[in-house]
Amino acid sequence: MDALTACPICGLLQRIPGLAPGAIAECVRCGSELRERKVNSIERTLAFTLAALILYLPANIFPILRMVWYGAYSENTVWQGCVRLWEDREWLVAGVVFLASIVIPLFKLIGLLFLVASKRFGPGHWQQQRLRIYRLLDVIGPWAMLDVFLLSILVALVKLGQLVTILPGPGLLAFTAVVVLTILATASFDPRLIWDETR
Amino acid sequence: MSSEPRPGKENPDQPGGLQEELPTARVRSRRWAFPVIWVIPFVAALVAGYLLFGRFEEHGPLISISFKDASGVSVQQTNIEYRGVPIGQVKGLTLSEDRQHALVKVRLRRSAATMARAGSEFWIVRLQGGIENLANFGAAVGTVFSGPYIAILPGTGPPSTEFIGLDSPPTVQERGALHVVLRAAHVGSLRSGTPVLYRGVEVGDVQGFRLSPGTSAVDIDVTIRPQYARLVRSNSRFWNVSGANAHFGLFKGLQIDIQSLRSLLTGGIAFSTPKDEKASPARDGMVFPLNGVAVKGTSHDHRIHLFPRSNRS
Repeated sequence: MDALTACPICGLLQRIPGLAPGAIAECVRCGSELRERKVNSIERTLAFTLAALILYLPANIFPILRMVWYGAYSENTVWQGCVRLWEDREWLVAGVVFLASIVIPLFKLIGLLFLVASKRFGPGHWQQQRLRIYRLLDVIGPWAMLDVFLLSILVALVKLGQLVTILPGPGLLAFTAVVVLTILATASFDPRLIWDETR
Repeated sequence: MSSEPRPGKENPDQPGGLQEELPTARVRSRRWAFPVIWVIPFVAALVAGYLLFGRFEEHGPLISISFKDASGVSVQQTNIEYRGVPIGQVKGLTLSEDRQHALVKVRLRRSAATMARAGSEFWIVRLQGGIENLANFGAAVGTVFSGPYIAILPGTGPPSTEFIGLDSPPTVQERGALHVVLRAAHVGSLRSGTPVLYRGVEVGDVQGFRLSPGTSAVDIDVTIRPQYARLVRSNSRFWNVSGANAHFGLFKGLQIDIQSLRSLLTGGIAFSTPKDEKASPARDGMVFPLNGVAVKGTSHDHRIHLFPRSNRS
């Protein structure tokens, strides 16, 4: 039987006929593409999550910042930054940076990976638990990484002024990629898939 | 729903409550369907692999060097250098168990792993002394800002990870260099770093000096660079050109002998080797007398004539 879908752009509810492979449905009013679910949700989420997890390792073991101060050279990874803040008795800031830069991104990625994997390998089970995980990911999502990280760079720039040359390290590329890929992975996951299996 | 049911196609905004009156979406064929998405993890793996490979290259063996004094050496900052190329970095700094030595842990680069062999010599290059230490001035002045670095003279023995560092730079800092001892009555203005000149070209330098075994003279350690080592033979003669020698002669005018500007500041040692096929090449550690003034007939120094000679006989 035909499925009912609201157009994501103009909101028109319409019927989608059974589609042949390679065919897509278009909204009768505005012409935008109609999907019952997000496009390729599982595959995309899996691809983005895997890519982010792969880059998570270099993002955390490589220096984000390199500083040159009159010939003296120092490198800083995210972890060293946390340790340094902790030693400077900035416990709250150290905790926030640690959670936002190291723990939450990893948690988010592993959570997404679990949701995708359970969809593929264990359909129809633990739906309540999976829903809880999804809700948790949704709540902690905004706390992951980017803002805090930019703030920490800003602090370094302000504190050290013109005496110091600050250069981005190789970890910065990986770190930024992890941020972007995590956002994309979250955006391409479709939570409705959790219940599709019960149909 | 209280509104009248109408056909959906005429008024899509009021589709009514019944499924039968909903519009049906148009169907067209997909434009393209290549799974581009899997390019992303592939690229991520490439980037991560590239970065990790770079770190792997830097991650050579960890060696431990014990020094009497490691002041100035700092963790994650001090490099170990060979011929000016950094080949490793200090990763740890601790006291030995008996607290008599500083243990410096150095992570070598993978490409330099084979340089840590038994017989390798390590010393710390710092800026020290005054203007007389000009020999390594170029190397040492850089240490003002960047701190000292550890220099290495690779050995040839089996691979090793435990080394004992030298307290001062070794006499021979390069394999193949010739080490000779000059015996003089007095050190004069000679210091470690004083150049050794051959026809005015710097071919080596003074490494240090000490009282000779009988305390009746001074033994000056001199190294000649490998490419010049064959210039020194058993019949070579050395003399001191420290400073400038000024002679005033009635008919010659004022003569000032200067070997080089640097020797004017720091002194210098010159030598020459008379042509003699029987003389054998100098052996390492050979002792030569150091003459106070230029040896007649062997001097190659440049004379500056401030006044023209009055007779050119």
